[in-house]
Amino acid sequence: MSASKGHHDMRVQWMLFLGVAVFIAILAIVYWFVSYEYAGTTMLALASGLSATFGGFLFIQDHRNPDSTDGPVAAASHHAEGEDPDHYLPTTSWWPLVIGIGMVLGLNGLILSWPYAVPGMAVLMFGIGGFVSDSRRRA
Amino acid sequence: MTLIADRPSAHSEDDEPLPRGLLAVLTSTDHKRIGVAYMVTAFFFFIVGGGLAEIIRLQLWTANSPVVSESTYNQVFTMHGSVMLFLFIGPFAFGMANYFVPLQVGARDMAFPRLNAMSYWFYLFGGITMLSGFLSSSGAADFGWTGYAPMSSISRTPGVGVDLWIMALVLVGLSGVLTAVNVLATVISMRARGMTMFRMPIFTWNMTVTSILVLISFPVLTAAAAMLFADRHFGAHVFDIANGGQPIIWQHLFWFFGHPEVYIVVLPYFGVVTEIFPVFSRRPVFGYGGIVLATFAIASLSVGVWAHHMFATGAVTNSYFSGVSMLIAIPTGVKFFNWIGTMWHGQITFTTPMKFSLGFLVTFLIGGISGVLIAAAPIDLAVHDSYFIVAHMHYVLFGGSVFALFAGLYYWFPKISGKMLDKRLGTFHFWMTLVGFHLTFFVQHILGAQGMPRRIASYPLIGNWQLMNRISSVGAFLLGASILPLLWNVWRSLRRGEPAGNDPWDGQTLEWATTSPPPPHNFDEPLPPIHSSRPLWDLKYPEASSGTHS
Amino acid sequence: MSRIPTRLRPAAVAATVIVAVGLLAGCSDSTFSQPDAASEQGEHTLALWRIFIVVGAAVGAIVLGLILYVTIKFRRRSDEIPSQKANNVGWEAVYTITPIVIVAVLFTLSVTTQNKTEKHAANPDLTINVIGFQWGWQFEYPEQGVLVTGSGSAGERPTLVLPVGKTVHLVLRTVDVIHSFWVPEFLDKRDLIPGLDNSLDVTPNHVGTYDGKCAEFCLLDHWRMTFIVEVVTPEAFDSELSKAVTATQGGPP
Repeated sequence: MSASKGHHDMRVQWMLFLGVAVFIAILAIVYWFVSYEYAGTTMLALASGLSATFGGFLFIQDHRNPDSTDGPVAAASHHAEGEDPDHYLPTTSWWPLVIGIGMVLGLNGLILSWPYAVPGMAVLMFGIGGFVSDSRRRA
Repeated sequence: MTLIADRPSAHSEDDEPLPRGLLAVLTSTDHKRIGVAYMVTAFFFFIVGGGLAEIIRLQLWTANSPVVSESTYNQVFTMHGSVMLFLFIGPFAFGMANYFVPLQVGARDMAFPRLNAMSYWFYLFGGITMLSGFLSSSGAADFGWTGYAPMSSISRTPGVGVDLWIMALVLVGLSGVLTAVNVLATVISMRARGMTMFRMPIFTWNMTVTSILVLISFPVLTAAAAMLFADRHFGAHVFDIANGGQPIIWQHLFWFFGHPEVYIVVLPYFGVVTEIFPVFSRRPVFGYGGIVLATFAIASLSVGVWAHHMFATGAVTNSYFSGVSMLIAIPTGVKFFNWIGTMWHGQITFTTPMKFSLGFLVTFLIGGISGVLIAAAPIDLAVHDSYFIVAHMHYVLFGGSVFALFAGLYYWFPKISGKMLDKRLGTFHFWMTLVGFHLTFFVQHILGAQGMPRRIASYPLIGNWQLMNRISSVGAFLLGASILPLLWNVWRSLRRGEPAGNDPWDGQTLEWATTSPPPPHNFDEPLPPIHSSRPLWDLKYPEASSGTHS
Repeated sequence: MSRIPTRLRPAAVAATVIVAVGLLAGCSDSTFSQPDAASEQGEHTLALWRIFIVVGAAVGAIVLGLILYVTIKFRRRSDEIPSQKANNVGWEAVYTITPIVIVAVLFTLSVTTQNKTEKHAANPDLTINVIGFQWGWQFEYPEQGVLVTGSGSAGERPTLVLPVGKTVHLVLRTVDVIHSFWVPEFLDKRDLIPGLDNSLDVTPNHVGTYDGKCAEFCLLDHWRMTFIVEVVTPEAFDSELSKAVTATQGGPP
């Protein structure tokens, strides 16, 4: 497919996100002036900001040198050319389960008692450590 | 079909041997396995939530004579709502997304496979945490799935079941956010060559928009849950009026999550039927661009309507919320006409997925119309917190989401298992569901308008109330029983079902271009060239591929 | 002429009968299942309800008709590939603009009604303080110096006595969790929320006895938290009020 088509496609992505951000920003302004209510206005403004963050990220990607492949966002700039063949897609891993067990023990330990929370946090840290080192080794 | 099978294989996967059995379930990061795990787990929670619903209908069989105690009843309807909304409808959609978004965009997997597995475990453990409240001495949470402050304060509901409910929201919310990130990253960076944004199938589009909504709304729920937990255990006073807090803030936070949540659990299923109508009409989607735009319009508007759940609080600007809520009817109406336009001039076959999609269309229509009624503040003030609202939300969430969910199940089961489901049992299941559903919920509109409040453990003998409640209960028992032909059908097909082949429905999108079930990295053959939103159709019917959008 | 396949007919008939019976049951009365309004504000809401039901039913019938037409007319008859045309700007404009017009009209009607039902009288004829508690009600008549209290948990249903034709200002407060004041015949309700002073103006226009209830779930005995509304002539007001006082004994904790 042609490069111009790919560029057009990239533009669609950030325009969609920024469109949502602008729309919610308008809602926030209208809402403030019809209600003068703080909670909702704050939440709408934050929602708009969140959407603008994604849109802004994709906008910067779009306007960056298209040949650049360094940095953690390399995969994103390759989107229209097909998937990056070097993208690491593991088939198995124990670490998600370990993190899940650590997380549930840690959170429920807050309710039950600290003897659950402490080992839970330890398992969680162990799991995150394993997850990260797994990525480093294989990527 | 043969066109694809004849192509030479591009490469063979000879990586490490794949684990099997329990080991595979516990460690796999394959998006298809995780997707199936999501769907099976969510379906289990559906059966649990359905069982709780049957207790509710049993309780209301006779006026003035409760079957279970008020305390138990309050736990039952609280957990029915919580299980269905947090553990079933949303996660099932994420299961479908996990399985089919990568296939539909021609990717080998989700962008972050291990993150994907992690969010499944968070979801499963969150669900178990929520249900484990029933095992505690004080029982499960009992303040309704909305958990309004100050009912949820430690002095009013001291039970550990409430804390477990809060932690479950945190875990399930986290799981949802991680999955949303994963879906968005997959859609943005993993699409196959030629698969531009405006060639993506509508299901993938809707999951994309749903994921944006999840990212906007779920963090609010997690924050609210954290505040509630801090109030209960760490001496905070966010919702405590005696110490300068504001109980009404909980409602703002909860519904700022809760209303987008309604669309989070409906938009994916809109996507499902938008896949099914074209295939069984042998036509392209009518007004593709309009559908995408309508989805964005629904999603954006849904962020601004939260307080239409709060008209009766007297603390919000009713005309603003009334107006924005009614605006949502416009893009939703547009979708209806897109679906009808898709079938217009088509060659329609009434397969089981198509029957359920049509059932969705008819049932959701009624739910949509009653939605416009209660968007009008004066009408909402008359029927708010009554069975009219119960009827409305079940027409939307069961009539909308669950009918479409069954449609998707019958549509994609052959791809997932490689076996066809029996058509006669499917037809039986469909009619039982349709009749059972309308019997259960239609009379609830009337009960609500006549003044029956929701969430009451028993009701006085007024007018025809007992008769109408019995009609509703009979419908609910039929609806509950309708799950049996489905389970039997699935069981039978897995054992001795007819082989499905790659493309049993004459499909249009990429998931039908690979084997059933797909190989570990999804496509052993090269993908068909992608020049439209229907690459497989274009390949099979090159002479009929014109007239579609670029 | 195409027909519904034979073996689907019984089920299709059953489904149609259920929906038709339901629709008839819901629409057989002139108020479409709502109780007859017993207040001026309720009359306005009831009028709006009728309009919305009729418009909703009409839109529903048209769309349902289209769905039935399409599914019967375009059933598969051959292997011929149908038209692949996927756009029709004219129709797309029609089905976008039509809902916009309908919604605009309905919204205008809704706001007009809302302005009437939510209006607060500058000088109400009577002010009553309504206090909700788990699980009962207290009605305080400051001008008369009268207090009516009843606890639903104790099996009591306190009586709220209102004079017909007078505009009553109800001040709604709660001493514990959120409750909601609902009399179906007034077609209105309002929450009682800690920290907020809510109020509701109601002008009863039909003498009679009505059921009132708490609409917002408030834990254990929520379903028992009911009360009675007696709309009486202004002449009978004082004697009815004194009867109401002696009838019930409970009180807020």
